Amino acid sequence: MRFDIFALVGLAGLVGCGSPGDGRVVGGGAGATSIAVPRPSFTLTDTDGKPFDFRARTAGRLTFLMFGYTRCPDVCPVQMANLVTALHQVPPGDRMGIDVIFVSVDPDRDSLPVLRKWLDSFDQSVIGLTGSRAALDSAQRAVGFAPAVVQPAAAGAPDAVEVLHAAPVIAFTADDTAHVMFPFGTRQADWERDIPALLQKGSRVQPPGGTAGVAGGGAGGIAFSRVYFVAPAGDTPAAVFLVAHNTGAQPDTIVALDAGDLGPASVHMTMTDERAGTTMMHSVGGVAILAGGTLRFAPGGYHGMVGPLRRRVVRGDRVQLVIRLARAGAVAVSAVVISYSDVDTATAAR
Amino acid sequence: MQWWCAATGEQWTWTWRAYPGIWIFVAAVALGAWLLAGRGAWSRAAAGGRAAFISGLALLWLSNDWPLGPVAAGYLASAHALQFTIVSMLAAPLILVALRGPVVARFGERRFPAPLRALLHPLSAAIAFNAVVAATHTSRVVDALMPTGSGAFVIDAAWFVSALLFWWPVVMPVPALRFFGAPMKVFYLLVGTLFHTAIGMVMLVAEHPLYGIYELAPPILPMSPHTDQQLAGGIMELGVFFIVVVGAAIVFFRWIERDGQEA
Repeated sequence: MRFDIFALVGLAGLVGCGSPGDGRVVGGGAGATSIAVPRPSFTLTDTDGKPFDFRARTAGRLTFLMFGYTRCPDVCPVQMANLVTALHQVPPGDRMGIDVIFVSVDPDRDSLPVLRKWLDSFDQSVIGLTGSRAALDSAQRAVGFAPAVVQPAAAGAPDAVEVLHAAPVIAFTADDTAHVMFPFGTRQADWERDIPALLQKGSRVQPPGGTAGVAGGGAGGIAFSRVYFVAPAGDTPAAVFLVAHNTGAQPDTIVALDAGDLGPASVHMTMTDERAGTTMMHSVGGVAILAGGTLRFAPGGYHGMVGPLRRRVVRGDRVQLVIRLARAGAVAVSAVVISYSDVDTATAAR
Repeated sequence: MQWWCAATGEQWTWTWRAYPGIWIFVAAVALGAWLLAGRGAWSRAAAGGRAAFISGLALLWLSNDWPLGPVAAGYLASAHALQFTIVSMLAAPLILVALRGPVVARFGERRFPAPLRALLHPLSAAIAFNAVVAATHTSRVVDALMPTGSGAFVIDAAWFVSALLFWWPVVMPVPALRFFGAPMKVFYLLVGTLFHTAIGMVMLVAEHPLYGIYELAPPILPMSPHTDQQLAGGIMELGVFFIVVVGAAIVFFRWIERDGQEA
């Protein structure tokens, strides 16, 4: 089932290189998307003309895998350039443990020398692969992507055909699992921030909003998403916003928040007296999450408070929190530190 | 059809495109200048004034229309910096230079209303110009506004209007300001554009590309977004500085010349 859903994700990310506007992010700054895909097994041909067994050759290494083609006018060169530029900032010792693999899904036009020359224009260490149409389709399906589609290009385009292909770069970590994929729109600064975390064995780069803390074994349990820790201005406490999903048949209750060495933490509710025009915050002992329901900690309502802080946090940091539930117990989550100016965007209902 | 150049994320092609909003904008500026100058003013204007007006209007049009306009809007930060330099530092002062004679003839003896005097005061003009420059060069504003025609129009129009304000006290002798002689004008030009130097420096030394629209744009030159940004910084630094120095030199030498004649 997960793969079916992921295939849909792949389809959603299918972009038409040379097809104006399709799925494009302009001025993006898109973040990593959380996934869970085991390192697949497929064999294609490398630019030396030799068979390349993806799983065997990359096992245990941080591997960035992307599909594209050399005549791609927009997504492929931008994704590749940003990734390679960020990799140039990685210390040489760490860089040795990273593979970047570009699979051309346009074997009719991308001969091995053409593919090699294009990759060398970015970095000679990038591994180029291609193969028969059937082998390429199989490789894309193995990571949950819909196979690329070759179709006539729009009128006025420089090429007669364009290739619709999945744009995200998938990152397989040392635990031979891809926990994240990076959509088109990932910027150099995003890569530079996330690559060190990916280098840690089995590490996970959390998607924007942090966490995917799951209690109760996933299905039927409580899951948290979009966990934000708002860096305070001055000595005021920090606020915690999140979304809790209860996919189980039983209600549960958030009874406490634990921020470890960051400082004392508690759950609060903002109460507004409309007549007096005043707003006050009250500590609450528990917040129920109905069976099958969603609970939002957001400005003006329930929220966590942590403080006074014992150490400074800044925008872009990640902090570890523990949310204690009456039924499911303690759930560890990772929260992204944001500033107050980010709150509206971060907590907007989606 | 787009009415104004914006960052579309489309692959660049050398196929001409029409941007009617730009023609309307340039026509509106021409109409505004004609109304400001008054009936018959252009027929009496010196050849130099007419040439300055046509040059200023042409630069305004060419810097916003295809191909520079769309390249600046969605592909190259350096083209955007070039566009800014042309609009703010060439088109705006040239149009004001052309209007100088007719405006003096028409308004020289009149007392300007207080709000207009305040707006055209060198201090408020410099503050307005630099505020616009600061706001329209932050990555949030650029990435938020440039992908839409209306957003890009706001930036482009704000540059032109604020540049007219900035250059007005230098070029126009009305409303008369006794303290604002040639030395003060030179000082005003040099100090009033210091902020551009700071922005250019930030572009030059930034570790990463600052603007998402240019970092993620389909490449059109064999140049990385970082290099493009550094080139944009260089244009902001040197291009603006060069024009300001030329402008200051013109003000200074005309003052010397006039002083000599009076003596």
